[in-house]
Amino acid sequence: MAELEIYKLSRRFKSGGGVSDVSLTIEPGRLFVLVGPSGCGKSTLLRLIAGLESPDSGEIRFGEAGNADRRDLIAMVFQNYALYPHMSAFDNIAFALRLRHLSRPEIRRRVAEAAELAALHIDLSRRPAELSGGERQRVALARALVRRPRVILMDEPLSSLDAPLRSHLRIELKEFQRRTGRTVIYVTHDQFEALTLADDLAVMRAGTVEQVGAPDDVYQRPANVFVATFMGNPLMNIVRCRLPNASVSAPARSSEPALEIGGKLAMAMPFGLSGEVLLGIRPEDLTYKSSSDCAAFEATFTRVEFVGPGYLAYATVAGQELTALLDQPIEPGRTRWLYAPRRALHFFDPVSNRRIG
Amino acid sequence: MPGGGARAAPLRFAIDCLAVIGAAVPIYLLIKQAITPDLESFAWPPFWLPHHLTASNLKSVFELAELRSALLLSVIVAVAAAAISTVLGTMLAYAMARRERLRQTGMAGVTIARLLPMIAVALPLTTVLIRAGLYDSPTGMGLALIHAALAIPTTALTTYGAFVAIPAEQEEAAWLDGASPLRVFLAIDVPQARMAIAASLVLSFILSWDEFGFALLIQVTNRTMPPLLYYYTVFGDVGPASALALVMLAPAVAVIIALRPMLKSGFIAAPRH
Repeated sequence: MAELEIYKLSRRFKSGGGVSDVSLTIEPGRLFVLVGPSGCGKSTLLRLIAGLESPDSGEIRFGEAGNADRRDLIAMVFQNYALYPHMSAFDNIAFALRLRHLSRPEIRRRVAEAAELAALHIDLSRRPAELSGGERQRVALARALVRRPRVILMDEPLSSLDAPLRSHLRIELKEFQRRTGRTVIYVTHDQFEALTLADDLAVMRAGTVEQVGAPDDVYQRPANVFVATFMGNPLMNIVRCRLPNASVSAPARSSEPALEIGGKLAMAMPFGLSGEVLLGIRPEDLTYKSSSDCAAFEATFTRVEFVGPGYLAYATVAGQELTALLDQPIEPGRTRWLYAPRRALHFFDPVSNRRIG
Repeated sequence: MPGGGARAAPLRFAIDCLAVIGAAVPIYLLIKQAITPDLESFAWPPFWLPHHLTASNLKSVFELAELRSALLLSVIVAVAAAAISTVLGTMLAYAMARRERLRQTGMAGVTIARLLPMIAVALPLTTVLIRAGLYDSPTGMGLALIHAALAIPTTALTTYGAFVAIPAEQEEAAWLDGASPLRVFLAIDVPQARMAIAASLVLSFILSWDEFGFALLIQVTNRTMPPLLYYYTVFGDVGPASALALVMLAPAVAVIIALRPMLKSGFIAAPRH
């Protein structure tokens, strides 16, 4: 049985934003990531799940838990952790237990248990201001865990940290989720964080879900142009091009700016695509090496940036911009052929922007 | 760093000295007049140092039958006014800090309340008190209510900033932890705003302690300290009046000293270096 079922959930704000008609199923014990640009409604969706906002329509069903008080089922870790600054770490964690009138020994036992699970090995009499960023995160995790919720919601918990700490704590969060086996719903605007953390992810835009799937699946088979360009860095190239007829192996020509697609590509195409399409290619999939089944582009280079793992080369191909992540630098002004293997080509409908092959 | 670097230090020291002298001189003169004969207070050229000391002024004040009741009534009124205005002002400030729509109307109301000429509303207020049976009450509750109303803008504005500074997420976290809205307010907001609340208690206490117009108008026979001092000043001598003023000064100073540790980091926080 699903942990959480979101059915046709809508919540609009006068100022704009919110979510419309979102349906999602979240399986137990998974780390489910909601990712999208700011204003896409991911935080609203999380707050709806938390019960901090009420929906205009639609429902949220908690699988087996049925009709128990929402606040007993979920816990939330906020962006800046929202620890109570006037309380010690212990009191922060124990707050929910004291509200439930548990006995003192029971509170001590459960706080210790939660601290252990959150890998929080500090003097719990210290206050949040005296703790490091990592320790604060662990206090927030312990505070969320101590009530034994079924689902833990996390709202961009890493976004206010500096890069080294962020990557360290990301790994820690993932381990925490595995160790505790809790269902985690995690909101982020960072596509890299989403790809590395998620068991499942949902890409959102303008209040709706664009695609749901495993990270590698979403990355390798983006459902539309938005998902294709949002997931991945450097950004996927999207170029308009005219495909040859499936029956003809020779490149077709067009008067408008279009791409030639060479080689045996036309025959390898599924569904016999033809005509005007949007072609997506990730910069890292473009190389100088040709192979038997690939697309070819005659690229004139305009600019090159060294980006660490390689050189990001900006080129124009038949009047359209293309970037390629190359392992060798190239002089601006030169023209060379670039190749991309068939499996790296993403085709989208130019009108609906949906994936067609 | 607020106030600039090392160069500003001598200037700041000079300003601090002036401020201290400005505040201390009247108090010094008051003490001097209270412990010297009247003749010295009117001497020309004035003496800056007392020549003859006398306890007769203080003695006459302490022998005054009305002193105890007036002092007690003033304390009751000021404590009640401080408590009521701080509770209500704190709630208003909290509402303004958390509800966008209340912020503007609340601020406007608070500002208008401060701008109203008090003597203009004195008459209608007095009739209200007479009808409510609180006029010239021996417990001073009518005056306390008026003082509380007068102090609400002060207490609201003093605590408003403290509530604004508390992130809403902390309240949401507490709510999700299972706390009721009242519990959230008491367990999360009040402890963090305690400095501002203490400051507003002190300010409203002093405001009531010091208030003269309504006290004169309403506590006609059951007098509080300010009207008593007024009658004493008008009809009595400078020496005993100064002694009475000293008696009035004492509780205010005591309250400020008692709450100083809280005030230090709250309302009158000195810039940290």
